[in-house]
Amino acid sequence: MTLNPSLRMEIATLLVSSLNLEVAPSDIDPLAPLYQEGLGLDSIDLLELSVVISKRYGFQIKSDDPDITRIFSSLHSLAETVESRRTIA
Amino acid sequence: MLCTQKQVTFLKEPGLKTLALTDDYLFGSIELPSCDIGQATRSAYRTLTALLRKHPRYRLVRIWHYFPGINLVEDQLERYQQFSKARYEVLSASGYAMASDLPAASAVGSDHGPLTLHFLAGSGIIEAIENPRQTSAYLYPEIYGPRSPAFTRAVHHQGNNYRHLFISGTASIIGHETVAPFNPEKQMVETLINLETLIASAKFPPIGSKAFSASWCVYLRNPEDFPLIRDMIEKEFHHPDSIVYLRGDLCRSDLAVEIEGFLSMQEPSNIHPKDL
Repeated sequence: MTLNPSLRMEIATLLVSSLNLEVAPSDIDPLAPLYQEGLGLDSIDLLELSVVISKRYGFQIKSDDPDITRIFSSLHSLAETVESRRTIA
Repeated sequence: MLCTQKQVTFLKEPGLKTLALTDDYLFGSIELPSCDIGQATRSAYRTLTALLRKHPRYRLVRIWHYFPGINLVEDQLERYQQFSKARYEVLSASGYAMASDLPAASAVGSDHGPLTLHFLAGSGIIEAIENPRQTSAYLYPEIYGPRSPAFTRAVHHQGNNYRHLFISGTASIIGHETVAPFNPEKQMVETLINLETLIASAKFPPIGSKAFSASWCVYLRNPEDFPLIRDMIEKEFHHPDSIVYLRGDLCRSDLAVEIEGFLSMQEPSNIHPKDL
């Protein structure tokens, strides 16, 4: 599956605006981890991000999701998850 | 009581023994070895202030501290004073304004174990409440330690449809001096007046009113004072929803009793149905 690059940028923008990050969306390394080292998010950020994603894309990422570590392993991985699970265009 | 009808999400975070979220509150616990109480306090407060700096939506409302040997003097300074110094220094360095940003708090001496810190941060409107009978603790003179205790007497937290009042550990102190040292009966009289004064300052109805629910925790230095103190409390608190009595050492060796409380009053929602 080829990932739509504009979706990745859309999610990067959502991430920066919803979590008030002091980084430009285009400066987020798509392969760097989101949690702790990398973008420096913590578990509260990831929970808030899950809420924003569920409102925008119509699916939930639950804390007991077996793929949770992979989903938040990078912006690229999160965008792939959104592309495959979204219910809102 | 804080989250009976709210969804609680438990999270994991390095340095925190517990971390949980509701819509209105962030709750966390930190435990550290307490042998060097100054170092443990500095470390705990650095973890706490770093977390809240990342999440400015939540502001501190209440902190509970427990550690052993609270009145022991080590390196020529009482452990409570070492704790107060470390807390003041980290909060001050983190930009907390003493007059407006301090949480309600208590520090009680346990028999043994680590430094345990439980904190609550709220996402509503937060206001520090002081007691007009007492000097603000953060303005205490140096005779009580090189740095003043950085807490406020109570914190009022208002959400969309509730008012919560967190009352710090309250004792028989007027101005900054202990009234009736070592005398539990007279200390109870002053403590109850201090509680009523604080509650009135926060614009809550008097103790005993059915307009709010209340949970109280009473710390006794000497277990033999329990019957006397229980009788005085039952006479004053007409309809206690919840009272817990615990033995603990208090922050001044001349204090026999200290009472903390949580008051909760429901209010009609500020959101009109037409706005939904």
